[in-house]
Amino acid sequence: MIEVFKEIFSGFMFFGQGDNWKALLMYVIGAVLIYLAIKKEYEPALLLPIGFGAILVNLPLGVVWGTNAVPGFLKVLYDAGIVTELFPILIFIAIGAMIDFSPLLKNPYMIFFGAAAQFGIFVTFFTTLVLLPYLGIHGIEALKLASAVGIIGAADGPTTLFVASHYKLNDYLGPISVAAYSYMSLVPIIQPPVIRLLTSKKERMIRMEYHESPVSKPIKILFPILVTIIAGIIVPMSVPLVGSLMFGNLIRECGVLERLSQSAQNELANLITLLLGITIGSTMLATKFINPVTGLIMLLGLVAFIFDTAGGVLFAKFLNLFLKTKINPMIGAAGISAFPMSARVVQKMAKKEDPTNFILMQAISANAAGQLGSIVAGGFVIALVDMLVKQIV
Amino acid sequence: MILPSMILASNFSADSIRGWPLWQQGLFVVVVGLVGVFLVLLLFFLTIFIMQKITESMEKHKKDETV
Repeated sequence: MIEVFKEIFSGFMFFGQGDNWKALLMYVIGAVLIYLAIKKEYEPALLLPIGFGAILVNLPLGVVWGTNAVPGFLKVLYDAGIVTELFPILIFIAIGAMIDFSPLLKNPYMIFFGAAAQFGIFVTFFTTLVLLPYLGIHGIEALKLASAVGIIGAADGPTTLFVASHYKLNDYLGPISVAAYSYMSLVPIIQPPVIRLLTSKKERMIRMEYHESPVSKPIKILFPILVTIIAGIIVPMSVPLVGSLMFGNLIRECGVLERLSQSAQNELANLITLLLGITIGSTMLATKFINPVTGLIMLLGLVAFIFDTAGGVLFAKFLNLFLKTKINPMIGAAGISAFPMSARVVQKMAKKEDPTNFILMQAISANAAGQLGSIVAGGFVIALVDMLVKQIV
Repeated sequence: MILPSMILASNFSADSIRGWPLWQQGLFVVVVGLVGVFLVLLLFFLTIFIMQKITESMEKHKKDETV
C-alpha cells in the first residue's frame, strides 16, 4: 500500500531524496527572475523565459528534460540550439539586421573605443583563471571556464553563449547566461558610478562637435562584406559571429531585401529569443546551479562590466593627453556592446552635467563599435584558448 | 617582466606556451587578445577610411565632369 502511495505521490517524495530540496531554491530563483522581468523590466524577453525554464527543469522527475534515450522538449531544444551554437548565431543575424552602422561610418575613429572597452573581458578572464584553482577547477577546464566568464564582459549575451557552448560548459551555462543578461539590463545602474569615479565634472562637461554627413550606399554595402573578410582572415574563429552579424547587416543595407530584413528584425529575433531564454533556463538544474562557482561567476561578471567601462573611460582620458580637441571621456564607456543602452546612459549623464550638451551620436558610434569589438574579442579568446587546450584540428 | 623574458628566452612555439604555468598562459591570452582586438579594429578603421576617400574622390570626379 505504501509503495502505491509512493508511486502516486512521487512528486512529493522527490524533495526528500538526496539534494533534491535544492529544487525548491531554484523555484525561488526562477520566481525572482520572473519578478525582475515583469516588475523591473530587466531584459524581460530573456529573464522571464529563463526564470520559467529554471522552474520547469527542476520539477520532480525532470520530465521536460528527459533522458538521452527519451529526451524531453527542453533537451531537444538544447541539443538543437545550444550544443550546435545555432541559437546565438541566428540571434546575431537578427542583431545585424537591427544595427545601423552609419554613426560609426561617419565617425570611424570611434571604433577604437570598441576595442578599449573590451578590457574588462581580459581582466576578468585572468582574474577567473587565478581564482578557479581555489574552487578545485584546474588546467584546461579553468581556461575554458575563464574564457566564458571573461566574455560576460562583452555585454553581449549571444557572444557569451557562443563561447560557453563552444567549450561545452553545460554545467555553467545557466549562471553564465543569467549573469550576462542580467548585468546587461543593469548597465544604467552599473556604469554611472564607475564613470563618475574616473572623471571630473569638467571632463563630463566636454562638448564634442558632430558633423552630419551622409554615408553613401556603396560604403554601407561594402562595410559588412569587407569586415567579414578581414575578420575571417585574421581571426577565423570569429567568423560565425562576425559573419552572421554582417550577413544580417547586409540584408538590411542592400535595399532589395526589405521583407527579409524585417523578418530577421522581428520574427527571427522574437522566435529565437523565446526559445533561447527557456532553453538557457533549462540548464539551471539545482544540483549543478547551486554551488560556489555560480557565486564566483555572478561576481566576476559584474567585475567584467566594471572594468569594461573603466577601460573605455581611461582610454579616452589617455587620448586626451595628446589631443588638441578633447574627447568627452564618458564616450569611452559606450564602447561596450550593450546597444544602445550604454550610449543612452552616457548621453543622460552628459545632459545631467550640462543640459545643452549633446554627445549621443558619438556615443552611439562607440556603442556600434562595441558590437564589433566584443565579437572580435570573443573570436580571439576562442582562438587563443583553443590553441592552449589543443583543440585546433 | 617574467612574461616578456619567457617569450624572449623560449622558442615561442604553441607547445612551449602550453608548458607555461596557468597564470602565465592567462597573461599571454590577455596581452595577445587585447593587442589583437586593437589591430583588427584598426584594420576596420582603415577600411572605412579608405572607402570614404574613394567615395569622396569619385563624387568629386563626377562633379568635375558635370561642370
